[in-house]
Amino acid sequence: MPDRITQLLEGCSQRDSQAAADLLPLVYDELRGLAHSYLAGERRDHTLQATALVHEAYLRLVKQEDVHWQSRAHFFAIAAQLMRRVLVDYARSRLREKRGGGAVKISLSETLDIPQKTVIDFLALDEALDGLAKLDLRQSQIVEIRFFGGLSIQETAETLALSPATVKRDWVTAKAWLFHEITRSTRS
Amino acid sequence: MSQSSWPLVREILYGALELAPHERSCYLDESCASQPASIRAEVETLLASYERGGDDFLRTLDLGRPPVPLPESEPAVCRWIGRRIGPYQVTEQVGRGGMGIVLRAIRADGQFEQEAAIKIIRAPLTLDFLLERFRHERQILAALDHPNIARLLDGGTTEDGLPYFVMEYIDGQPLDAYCDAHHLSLRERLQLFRAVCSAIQYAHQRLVVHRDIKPGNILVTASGAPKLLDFGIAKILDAKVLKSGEEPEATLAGMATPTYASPEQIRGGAITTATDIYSLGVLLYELLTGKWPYHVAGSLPHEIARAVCEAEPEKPSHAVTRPVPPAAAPAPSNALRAGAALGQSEKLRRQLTGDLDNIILRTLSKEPERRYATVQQLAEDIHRHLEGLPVIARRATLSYRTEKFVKRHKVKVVAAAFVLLALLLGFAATFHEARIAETERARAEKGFDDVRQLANTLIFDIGGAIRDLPGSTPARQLLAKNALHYLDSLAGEAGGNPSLERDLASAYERLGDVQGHPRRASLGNLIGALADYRKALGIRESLLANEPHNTRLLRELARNYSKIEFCLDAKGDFREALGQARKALKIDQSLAGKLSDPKDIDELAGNYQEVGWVLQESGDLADSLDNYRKAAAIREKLVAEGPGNDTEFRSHLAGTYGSMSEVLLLEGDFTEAIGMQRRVVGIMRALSGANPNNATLREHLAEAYYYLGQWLERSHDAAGALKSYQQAFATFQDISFADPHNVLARRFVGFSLLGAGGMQVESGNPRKGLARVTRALAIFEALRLHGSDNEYIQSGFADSYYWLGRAHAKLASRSTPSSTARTVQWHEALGWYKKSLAVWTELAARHAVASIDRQKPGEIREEIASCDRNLAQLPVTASR
Repeated sequence: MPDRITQLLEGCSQRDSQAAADLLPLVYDELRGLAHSYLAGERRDHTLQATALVHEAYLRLVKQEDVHWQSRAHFFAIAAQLMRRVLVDYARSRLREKRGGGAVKISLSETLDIPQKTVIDFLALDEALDGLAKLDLRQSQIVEIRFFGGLSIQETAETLALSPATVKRDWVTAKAWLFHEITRSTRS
Repeated sequence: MSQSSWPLVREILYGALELAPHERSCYLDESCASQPASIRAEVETLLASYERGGDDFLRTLDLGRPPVPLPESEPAVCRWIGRRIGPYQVTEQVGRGGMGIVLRAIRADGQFEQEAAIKIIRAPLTLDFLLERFRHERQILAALDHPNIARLLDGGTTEDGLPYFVMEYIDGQPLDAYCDAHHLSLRERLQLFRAVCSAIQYAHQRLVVHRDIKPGNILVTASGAPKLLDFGIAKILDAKVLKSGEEPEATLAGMATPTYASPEQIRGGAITTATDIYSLGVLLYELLTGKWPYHVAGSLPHEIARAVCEAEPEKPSHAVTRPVPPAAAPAPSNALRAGAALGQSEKLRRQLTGDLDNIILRTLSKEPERRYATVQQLAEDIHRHLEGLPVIARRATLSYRTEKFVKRHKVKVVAAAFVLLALLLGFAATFHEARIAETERARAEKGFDDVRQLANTLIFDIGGAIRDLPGSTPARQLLAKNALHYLDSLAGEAGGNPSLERDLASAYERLGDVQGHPRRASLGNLIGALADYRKALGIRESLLANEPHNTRLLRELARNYSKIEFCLDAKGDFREALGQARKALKIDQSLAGKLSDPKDIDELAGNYQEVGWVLQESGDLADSLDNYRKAAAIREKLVAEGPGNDTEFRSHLAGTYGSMSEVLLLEGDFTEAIGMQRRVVGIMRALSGANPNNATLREHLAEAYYYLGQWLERSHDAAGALKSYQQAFATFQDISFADPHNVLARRFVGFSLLGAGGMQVESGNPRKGLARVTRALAIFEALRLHGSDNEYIQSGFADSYYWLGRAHAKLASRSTPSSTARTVQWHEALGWYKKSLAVWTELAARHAVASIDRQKPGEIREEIASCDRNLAQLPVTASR
């Protein structure tokens, strides 16, 4: 399996569209599985970040060091998109559960650990990202890759063939815009 | 914000963000001078947003929260302050960690004033037996009484059901901070470390392992005494993981940071006293060098974990001369490094070279058995080093001894031989004493009946209680292995004790179930299971020789034959299997008159069914169906009489119907077969719906969907089959997520995916189908690599290859006549068909082809012929 994944990754970085088509479901399944067990509270660490999930998926699927750098970056770029989808699906299903009157388990243990920062509505972030994509598609891609895929400024720059300075500018200003957008919609 | 103004706003905004806040307004005046007022307003709004939290909101975004804002009104932190927990009144919060919060409290029942620290764990214990274990462990911990261990005073659960511990309140500094603040010398650090060792050794002698040694868990009081916190608590916390069936150390996410964790903790291996010795080694390394033993690129948990498991630690004496570590790497204490910066690194390097390097590296061995055997040995070695005596960590070469000796005695070299002898004798004596102490302690602790009872409780009560919980497989294996270990060690001493031998046989049988029961959630190790079952059989057969009419024993024996038969059947060894099945049936038939318990009656039906199954596999369909009918008749009667165990008997009846349905299919009666299989689905759906937490029932339901898919496929109803396979896939996927170690479910994920892919190929979607079949193939490959290779997996490969061939054949007939693409597709198809045929041929040579698959090789040969025909019509130049 890891060999197969590596093969597909190499194929992807050589723009082989069938390789990409074959890879997507594999990565998606893995991410969904991992996310499922985190979000269902089966893991101890409730505040796990998407980045760590993607990294774990990478470790589980690829499992080897000697993968070409581009392939690795490609994995993270793909996984970032998929991760966003997994989390949105999850958030939606939670919302449905709530609307349908089904019990949403908010155990006391959860209330123990509320960070004292603003609580962000995940679906609002997703929506805001869509909004940003309309404003500047590349900026929303950068946020996706950085936030969901955990790539550094440098890595993001190489993946998207941009200069690090541009990535940094786009990233910083995108965050300001997104935060404004999200807090505005939460307040209304 | 409009799309056209955004690039400008972004540019100005970024410029402003690059500046210090007080410079911004000036900058905005300048850069917005020639712009409409709305631009500046937008920039200012975004600037404010960034300052309000826009910089790091993504970092703190918690994905586990429900997608609605939680009330911000109640700061959860404070809800404990002023509350009473047991006899304690909470005064303040002193800490918060991954597992909960730590509160400072005062005993408030007027008797006497005592300060305490209360740790509240954030996960509620919900199962009774876990709570029981929590209480039990607490008692053991409360008995730890050592000047360097913070006393566990009390514990319980809060009104909300959260477990808590009350500990002696320690006013002190974490070990590393203390060493730094007091500028302790190397020698003083070693002495402090020895005091820590004495506490750990004390606990180890009482069979308590700390599991979470790190500077933050060792506080040093103002008077300089180290106090260990949280002894053994990590283990209690693990107990709650039984609920989800995962060893917490088995996953990266289980640990906040694996900096101090041992390789076996990261890998999910057995936790022993050697685990603590490893963590002590990391601690000592850091105290002496200010660095972490491994080079790592980053600070992500998986990078640290990988280093712990794979990288060789750097010699401490080398580490001190290493320049400043990368900022990301864990670098806790730095006092000695600061010293190094002052030009002392060379001195420190010399002090560490030799003994201390060896001592520390020995504690950091990847294999637990290569570390020190006890903490005492470690402490002793440090003592010896401080006294200038030889250390055991160093290879005891003559030159080394002499070197030491010369250092110590300077001039009295004449007496060298004598001293050498004395040293050797001293060593021998120490080892000898240690061994005697070990054996006596072990014997005393054995407490024959206690251990036996413990083993029984573990394996039968707890094992049974968690059997049907999703995700429980590894926990079951652990339990069975532990219990077997205890029983094994007793078997030697208790030879000739029939009741103990019977327990031993049962334990082997349970272990077999967990290892590789071919038809239940298991770890998929068929050979291991067969060996376990045969061990159980050996014991039982010899017991029966003395009591040939013992009914209970006979029944156990029958069950034992059956389980061996399951394994042989799964291996494809049908002839052997039939023999075992008949032995089991014969015993149960002989007892039939005495059976009154519905369960026993059900088991008799089970034996008919087994014989029927093996007959079916051997091709004797009429006899097979006859046995199934007998089984069904017995079970229908049981269900109709409606005893307490309704669910179980109904699901067994469904199983019998399933088998009948299969034989009907083999006989070519599709309508009857499909009707029967729909009954199975109906029964299982009702049962699973009524028992949503029962993983076994859900698995049966998923299987029923899968087989219905197969039947429909055979009756050429591709659309119906696709639907059934998809239902099977979804259900098995869920089961597999909940219990990633469940090989059976994983295998079925592969098969149902394969089925669905195949049906897509058949119904005009060869590309989609191809993708699914490839995924299925990847699953089989993973299972094979994982060591669960058997006839089922092999048939999965054969079927996958077949469908790959079929998909390419479909693509070939769609592509432009005489094109290269067409030739390539036909070649692809031919290649896959041949691969498939090769697997079937090999299986057939081992008589391991299930009856339902027997016509497949013939079909494939026809396909191959068709490929050849098609290729023959194509231009030769295009072929490979």
